[in-house]
Amino acid sequence: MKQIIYELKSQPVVSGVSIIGTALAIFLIMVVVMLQQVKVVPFAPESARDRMLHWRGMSIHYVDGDNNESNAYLSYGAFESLLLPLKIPENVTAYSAGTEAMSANTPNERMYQFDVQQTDHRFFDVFNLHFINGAPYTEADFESGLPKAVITRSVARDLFGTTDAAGREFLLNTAPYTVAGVVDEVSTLADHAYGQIWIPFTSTGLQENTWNSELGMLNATILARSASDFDAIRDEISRVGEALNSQLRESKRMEIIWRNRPYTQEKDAVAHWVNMEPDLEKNRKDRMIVFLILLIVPAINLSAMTQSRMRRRMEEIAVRRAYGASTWRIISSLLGENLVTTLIAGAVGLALCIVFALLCGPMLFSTMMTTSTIAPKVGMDVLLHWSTFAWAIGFCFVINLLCSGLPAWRASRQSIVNSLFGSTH
Amino acid sequence: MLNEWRSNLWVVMEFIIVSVVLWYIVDYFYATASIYNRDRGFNTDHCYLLSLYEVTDKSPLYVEGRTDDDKIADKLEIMERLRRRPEVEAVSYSASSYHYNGSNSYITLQTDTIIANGLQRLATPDFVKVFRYEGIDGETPDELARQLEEGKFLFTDNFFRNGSKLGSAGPRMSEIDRNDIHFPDDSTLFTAGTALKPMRYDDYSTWDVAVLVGPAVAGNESLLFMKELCIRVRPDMDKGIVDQLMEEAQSQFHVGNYLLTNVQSFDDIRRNYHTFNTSQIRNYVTGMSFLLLNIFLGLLGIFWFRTQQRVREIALRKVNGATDSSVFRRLVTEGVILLCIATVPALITDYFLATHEIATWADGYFGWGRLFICAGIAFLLMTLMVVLGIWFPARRAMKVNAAVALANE
Repeated sequence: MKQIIYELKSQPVVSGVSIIGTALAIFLIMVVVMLQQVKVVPFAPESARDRMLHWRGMSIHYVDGDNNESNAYLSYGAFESLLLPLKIPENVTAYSAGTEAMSANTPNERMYQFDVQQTDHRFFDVFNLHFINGAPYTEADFESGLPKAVITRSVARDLFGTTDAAGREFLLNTAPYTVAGVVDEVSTLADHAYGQIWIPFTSTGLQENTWNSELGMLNATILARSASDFDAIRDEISRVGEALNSQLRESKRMEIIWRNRPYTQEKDAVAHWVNMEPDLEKNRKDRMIVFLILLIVPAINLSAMTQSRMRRRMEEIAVRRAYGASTWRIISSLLGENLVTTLIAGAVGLALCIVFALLCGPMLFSTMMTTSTIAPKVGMDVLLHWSTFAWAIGFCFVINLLCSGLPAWRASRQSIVNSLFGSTH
Repeated sequence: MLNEWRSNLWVVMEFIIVSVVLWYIVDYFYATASIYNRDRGFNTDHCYLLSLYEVTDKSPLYVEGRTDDDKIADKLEIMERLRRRPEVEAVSYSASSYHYNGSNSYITLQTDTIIANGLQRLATPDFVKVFRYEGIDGETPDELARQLEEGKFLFTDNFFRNGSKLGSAGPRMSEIDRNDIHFPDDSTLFTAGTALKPMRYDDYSTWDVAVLVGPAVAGNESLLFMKELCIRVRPDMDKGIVDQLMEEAQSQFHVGNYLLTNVQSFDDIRRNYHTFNTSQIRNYVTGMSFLLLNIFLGLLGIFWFRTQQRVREIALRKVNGATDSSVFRRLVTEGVILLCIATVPALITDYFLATHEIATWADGYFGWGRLFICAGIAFLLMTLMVVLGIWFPARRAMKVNAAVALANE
């Protein structure tokens, strides 16, 4: 350790530049990592993301005629016949595809616009919204289409001036609703659970808004007991689905196209269109190219600088070798020394990244083509996942190996005689 | 310079990678900016989108027994009330038509043997006044609105250009018989009015084929499908209009089962619609700054060390009559020569990427002019960083005291 500090001190400019360079590289790489993290790591109310399979969109092929396809979302009928009967998952929920802006007010008061998510009662078992007052609407509420609503803290404040709002009434698109419960705000980054107001879709009749028996306005999420059940669930769906399809071919001359649905959280995050299967491989490859560029360019820089630093130590290395130190031993000690500096710089970079994400989060994580105009809320719970640290440390190792591996290897193989005579070229 | 070949090799490799990535980003900006700056063909300044909600039977406000004719009358009444306001210049209803919408409907039409399709804008005549469309020969929005009222279709000039896969070789609107337009499977003939200057789909897109159809053709009941209510406000009366309209929503703009529930400025709609594009631009700018900063830091570090190693050489040069500025120039030239060496393979890579359509922004074409402009900008940016990065070590080298340095010998 003393040796490392001495080294750093003896070359303040070069050491400073190395540390700043490494920190900068880690900073930017971690920003890219976090951009991806917010889409896949679990955080409330999507705390079970790693056990979720999403069914976004629905595609139908008409048996007669060529290439006749319709793409939309699930109808409640299709949800009931295809996903609800599944035995393996812990739970399944259906909810409107995207939120809808609706006006809300108390009689004769100002109208506000809020993002409304229409759901079934199972929604609150799949997504763990945190209730601070009241409770979710029940199965009975849902079945009879009662106008009950779950609202967020800020909606409760706007409408009633208090969060203690369970049981109170308000007008949603001029229709009277009763508050069933009040929950904590949900970030728009949790794009399945997001809403400011949640209501049973049976209260608006959304389940009757269909294109045909299979296509409607809903998305669904399947909650597995564990991620290892995913394959079994897919098998079960294709069994149920094949039976359904043979019926549909007979009676309606159409069949459901799977496009490999349902999707895991990671795949769902890149599913922008319902009429094609998302290309997860390409998405991963693109991200790898970005990582490579962000790693290689600074690594080349740092490597050149490490090389310069090594040169000053040729005599020392030669002496060590002359006293019998093995090549491997010298390489590992040089790599180790360098790793300490890389880790220090990495910590600085990660800290910078987190500060940056907290300050600029709403701008940084803005989601594509959202119907909501609300900026995403980014909290520590979203950013500080153990995998964030794993990624950061992993990248530090890679940078370290890239920038000091080659110089260390060469230094360890330099002819002892030449080194001791100071002929370093 | 040759003595340092190993570390120079690293520098050249770094330059090649950075220069290719920079070219890619500059090319993206070049294409994006060139599209963004093209004429959009419409104007959304001082325009607002009003949301009309149709009250359902779940609401106590619901009025029972409104027939379709009543509903149309209710909608027209709201439009009239808006039109009577001094602030409002024009009002229109439309379906999947307003700009920065994302929800479209398409129409396929035929003239002679050419079948073409484009975006269908189903709207009341004043739509052209709200978004200030223009005819290809400078016809005013008022004139165009009159033609829509007369039951003419208003095509963008290029509607049949790409029809029947003619690839921009098809006729312009001025070159076809304007009374011979029909659906491919139907012989009812329609008349085309003045050709419109093409309206681009959005700020970052080049797609601009559309046709406007009014209720005179689509029938009065088409008003029932037109859920979008857009207004243009006089520029000097723009302030506070959203709040004013919302204040009067429940008294003035509640007719039959229709109720005004929201007013949005098109500035906001436009910004939200383009979030994806603007965040991509921001990401590229960040990436570019990072790479440039890396070159700066890298050169700073390497040359700092190098001048330290070469104190004796510099001192010797000084003793032999080199001035401070010539020592400085020598170091900077070294960096620039390395950059030039790197530029050759980088240009070859750029060419390869461009011709293999990896950079397919804008119209997706390859042009030597564009390649050289973008590669040139990337080169200049890098030169700037090279000079800046070498500046500090070079200044240190200038201050070398020849006597002291050589005394150590």
